Amino acid sequence: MYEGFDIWSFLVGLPLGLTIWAVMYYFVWKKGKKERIFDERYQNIHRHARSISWKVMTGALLIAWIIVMIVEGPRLAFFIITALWIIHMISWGIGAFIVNEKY
Amino acid sequence: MGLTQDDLAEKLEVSRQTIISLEKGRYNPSLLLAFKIAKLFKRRIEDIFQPEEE
Amino acid sequence: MLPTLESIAGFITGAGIVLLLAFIYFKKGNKQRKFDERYEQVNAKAIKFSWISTLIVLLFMWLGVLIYEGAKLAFLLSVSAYGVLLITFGVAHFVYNRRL
Repeated sequence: MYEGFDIWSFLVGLPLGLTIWAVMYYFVWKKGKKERIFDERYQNIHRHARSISWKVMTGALLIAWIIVMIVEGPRLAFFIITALWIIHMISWGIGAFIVNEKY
Repeated sequence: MGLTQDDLAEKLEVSRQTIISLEKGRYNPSLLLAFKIAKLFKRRIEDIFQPEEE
Repeated sequence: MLPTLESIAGFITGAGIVLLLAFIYFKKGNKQRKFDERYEQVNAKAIKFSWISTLIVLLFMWLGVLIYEGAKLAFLLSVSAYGVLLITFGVAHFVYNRRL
């Protein structure tokens, strides 16, 4: 399996990826702005999509957690998933608290 | 009024897709957008949008 | 290392308690009409915040793990989690775009 990490290849790939992504993003955004794509219906769809994605992630994390516990025990992968779970939940709690205060 | 979907979208500052969705009755507009539509057609909101009877 | 019988028992007990608490919370909330449209809006915004935080953390996490440990379980899991987050978002976006 892949063991080494070639930092130089990574440093070449990174700016390339970022540039391509930024250029594509800019053109989509410019065209969208012209056609008023980012209106309230778009935001609604976005919100729904994010909500589904977040819920699937919550389920996936739980399943991954159990698998890691059985396969590898308390090593790096387990702590990473635990940390991720905590961030996932705490950020949700903080978000809910802030928005609840504002509305 | 002889407006195309594009004209309407431009006047309401939304996309054409939103107009199509509204016409099909699939998308519930926000109160703000509903007021804009009512104002544009010089009608009341309840003349344009009816709640679904359950 | 395999989990012991005790740890599995602990896990099931913990999950059971959480489920019970959640059930009571939702039953009580339903009675008080807690989950109305304002709640939904607040929740959606909270989820937005959480989704973005998780995405950013994951991005740095899988990069960090790749450098630290190489392509092992932790890396594969964090990369797949990253993929799950983005792909489900894309698919859900596509579906809602057709439905709404």
